Amino acid sequence: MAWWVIPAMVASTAVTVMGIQQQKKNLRANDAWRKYENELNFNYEKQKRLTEEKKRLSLARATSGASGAQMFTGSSLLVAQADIEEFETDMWYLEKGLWTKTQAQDAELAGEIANANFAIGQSLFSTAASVGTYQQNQKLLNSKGVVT
Amino acid sequence: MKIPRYTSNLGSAPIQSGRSLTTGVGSAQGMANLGKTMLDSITQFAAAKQEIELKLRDQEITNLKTLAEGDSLMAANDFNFGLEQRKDYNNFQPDYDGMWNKHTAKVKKDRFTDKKGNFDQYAWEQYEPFHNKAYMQGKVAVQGNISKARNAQSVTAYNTNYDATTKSIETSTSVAQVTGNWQEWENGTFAKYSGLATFDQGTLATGYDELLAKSNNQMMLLQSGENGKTPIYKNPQGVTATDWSKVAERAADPTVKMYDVQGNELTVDDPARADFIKNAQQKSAEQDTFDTNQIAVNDRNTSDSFNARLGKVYTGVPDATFMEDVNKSNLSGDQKKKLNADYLAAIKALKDKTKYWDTAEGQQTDAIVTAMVLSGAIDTEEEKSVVLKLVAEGKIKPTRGDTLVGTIEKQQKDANAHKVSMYKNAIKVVLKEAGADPNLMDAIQGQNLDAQNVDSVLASIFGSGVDATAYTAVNNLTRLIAEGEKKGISMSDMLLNTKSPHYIINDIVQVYKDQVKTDKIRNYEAKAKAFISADEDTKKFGDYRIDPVGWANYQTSVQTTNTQNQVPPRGDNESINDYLLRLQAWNKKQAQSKTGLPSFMQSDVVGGTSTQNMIVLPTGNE
Repeated sequence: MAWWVIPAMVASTAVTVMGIQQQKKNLRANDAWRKYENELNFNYEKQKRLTEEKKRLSLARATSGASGAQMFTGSSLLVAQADIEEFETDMWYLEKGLWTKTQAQDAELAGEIANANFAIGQSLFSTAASVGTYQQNQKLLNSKGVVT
Repeated sequence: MKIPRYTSNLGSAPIQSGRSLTTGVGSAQGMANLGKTMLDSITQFAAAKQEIELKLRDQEITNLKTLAEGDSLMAANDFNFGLEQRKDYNNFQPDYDGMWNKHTAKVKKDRFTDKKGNFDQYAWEQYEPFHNKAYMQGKVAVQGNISKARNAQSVTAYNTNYDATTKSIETSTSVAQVTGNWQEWENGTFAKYSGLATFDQGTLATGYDELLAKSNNQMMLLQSGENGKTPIYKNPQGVTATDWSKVAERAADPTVKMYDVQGNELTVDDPARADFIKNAQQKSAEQDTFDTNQIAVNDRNTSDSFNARLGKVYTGVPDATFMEDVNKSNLSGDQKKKLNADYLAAIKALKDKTKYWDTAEGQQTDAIVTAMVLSGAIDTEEEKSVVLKLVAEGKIKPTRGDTLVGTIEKQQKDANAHKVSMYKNAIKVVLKEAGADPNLMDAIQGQNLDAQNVDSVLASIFGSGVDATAYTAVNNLTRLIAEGEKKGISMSDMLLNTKSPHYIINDIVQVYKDQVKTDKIRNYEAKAKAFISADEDTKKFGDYRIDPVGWANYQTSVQTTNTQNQVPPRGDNESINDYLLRLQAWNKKQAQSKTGLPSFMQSDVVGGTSTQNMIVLPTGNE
C-alpha cells in the first residue's frame, strides 16, 4: 500500500471542507452586510418621513396662524389627528417591512448554510468511500501476495 | 411670502450595494473544487495503481507457474527416463515418491521463496494443482515402466528357458528324449505363461510354433536313421558328421514311418516332412560340395608334403619309403604317377654332377620365380604350391625354395597388417567425425587388432546392438573398400592418399557427419562401452574368431543387397560342427570369388596356412 494515498485523500477532503467553510463565512458576512444596509435604508426612510412630517406640521401651523383660525381645535383638530394616525400607520408598516425582509434573509442564509453543510457531508462521504474502496482493493492485493 | 425649502430626492432605500447572499463565494467554491479534484485524482491514481499491481502480480504468478510446471514435468520425465535401465521395479514407486518430495521442496525454494526467505504461499497455491497433475502424470508413467520392467523380466526368464529347451531338443539323441523335452516345455513353461496379462501372448504363440517345428525336425532327423539314430559318416577332414544324403534319402522314402512330437504320423506329403526333405537335400548338396572342396584341399596339402620330401631328396637325402607312402595315400592315380616320376627324376638327378638349378635355365627359373615372389605376384596358397612343385621337380634349389616360401608367408602377413592398420584408422576417423566418444576410440585402439581378429572384434563391438546409423557408416566403409579392391584400387589410395580420386574418407564423413544424431551416437557408445567392459571382465578378448551367427545377423540387420555375402544360417537341427564345416565351404567360395569382403578379411590371404579354419572356427568349442 502506498502510505501516502489515504493521507492525501484526507488532505484533499480537508481542502474541500475548508473551501466550504469559507463559503459559509462569506454567506454570513453577506447576510450581515445586507441587514446593515436594510437597517440604514429603514432609518433613512424613517428619518426622512419624520422630517417631512415635521415640515408639514410647521407649515400647517403657519398656515393656520396666518388665517387666524384657532389652531388644533374643532375640525382642525380632527384633521390633524387623522393625518397623525396615517403617518403612524405608515411608520408601522415601514418597520414591519424591515422585519419581514430580515426574516426572509435569515431563511435564505440558513438554506445556503445547510447546503454548504450538505456539501461537506458529501465530500466526507466520498472520501470515506474512496478510502474504503482503496483499502478493500489493497486487502485483495495483499491476499494475492502483493507486497507494497 | 413663501420660503423655498429643500426637498430630498434620493427616493426610497438609497443604499443599494447590489450584494447578494452568495457574493464572493466563488473563491471559496474554487477551493472546494480543488479539494474535490484532488480526491478524484488520488482515487483514480490509486485504482490504476492497484490494477497495474494486480496485473503484474498475475503475470508473476503465471511465470512462476509456467517455470515450476516445466521443472516438475521434467523431473517426472527424467525419473522415468532413468527407469529404462533399471530392473528393481519394486522400488520404482517409493523412489518416485522420494524424488518428488525432494523436487517439491526444491521447487518451493527455487521458485516460490525470495532471497529473504519469504515463501510465496498464494502463488504456490495457484500453482499447486499443476504440481499435483504433473505428479500424477509421472506416476502413471512410472506404473507403465513397472509393467515394462516386470514384463521384461518375465521375457528374460522365458527366453532363458526357451533357449535351454531348444538346446536340449537339438542335442536329444532319442525320440523319447525329444518328446519328453517338448512335453515338459508345453506343460510347464507354455502353460505357465499362457494367458498371463503381463506377458506378450504373440511372443508366446510364435515361440510355441517355432519350438514345435524344431522338435518335429529333430524327431524326423532321429527317425530318418536306423534304430532311431541319426545317420553319420566320417568326412574328408576326419570329422564325424550327419550324413545328410542318407537323411534325405530315407526321409523321402514313403515306407519309412515318421511321427511328430505329438504322436501324429507325418507322411511324405505332409508339409513339415516335405520341408524337412527339401532342407536335407539342400544340406546334402552343400555337404557334397564341401567334401569335394575339402578333398581338393587335402590333396593339395598331401602333394605339398610329398613335394617338400622331394625337395630333400634333391639335397642328397634319399627317401626310401617315398613311393610306398605315395601309393598308400588318398591321391588320385595320376597324381601318384606324377609324384613317383618326380621321385625317380630326383634320384636320377642325384647322380648328375650339374644340378638343373645350376644350369643357365635353372638360374633363369630361379630369377623369374624370385621376382614374382618379391613383387607379390605369387602370394596365395595355390601359388605357393607352385613353388613347392618347382622344388619337387628339381627346378629350384630346395634351400632356395624354403626361402621363397618363407618370403611369401611373411609378405602375406605384412601386407595384411598394413591393411588392417589403415582400416582401423579409417574406422576411427569415421566414428570420430560422427561424434563418438574419444574413449571409445581408445578402447578400439587398445584392442590390439590384427589380421586374425579384426573382424571378430569389430563385428562383436558393432554387432552388440549399437546405433544403426553408426553401424551403417562403418559397414558402408567396409563395403566401399571391398568394392574398390574388386576394381583394382589399392586400399592406400582409398584410405590414405587424400589426393587420389578414389579417396573415400571425406565422402563417408560428409554423408554421416550431419546424419548421425548425437543421441544415437551416445546410445551406441554406451552399448559399445558396456560390451567392452563386459569383455574385459571375462578376459575374452584375443580368443575370438568370427561368430558366424552374429555375422549372419549383422548382414540381415543392415539388409545388404549383396546376396553373395549372406552367410547361410544354421539349420534348425544342424549341429555346430556340421554348421561350421558347411560354413568353411561357403567361406572358401567367398574367398575364391573375391567379392563382398576386403581382401584382408578373406580367408585365403589371412596369414599362413589353414586360413579357412581361422575365419570360421571359434577358439575351443561352442
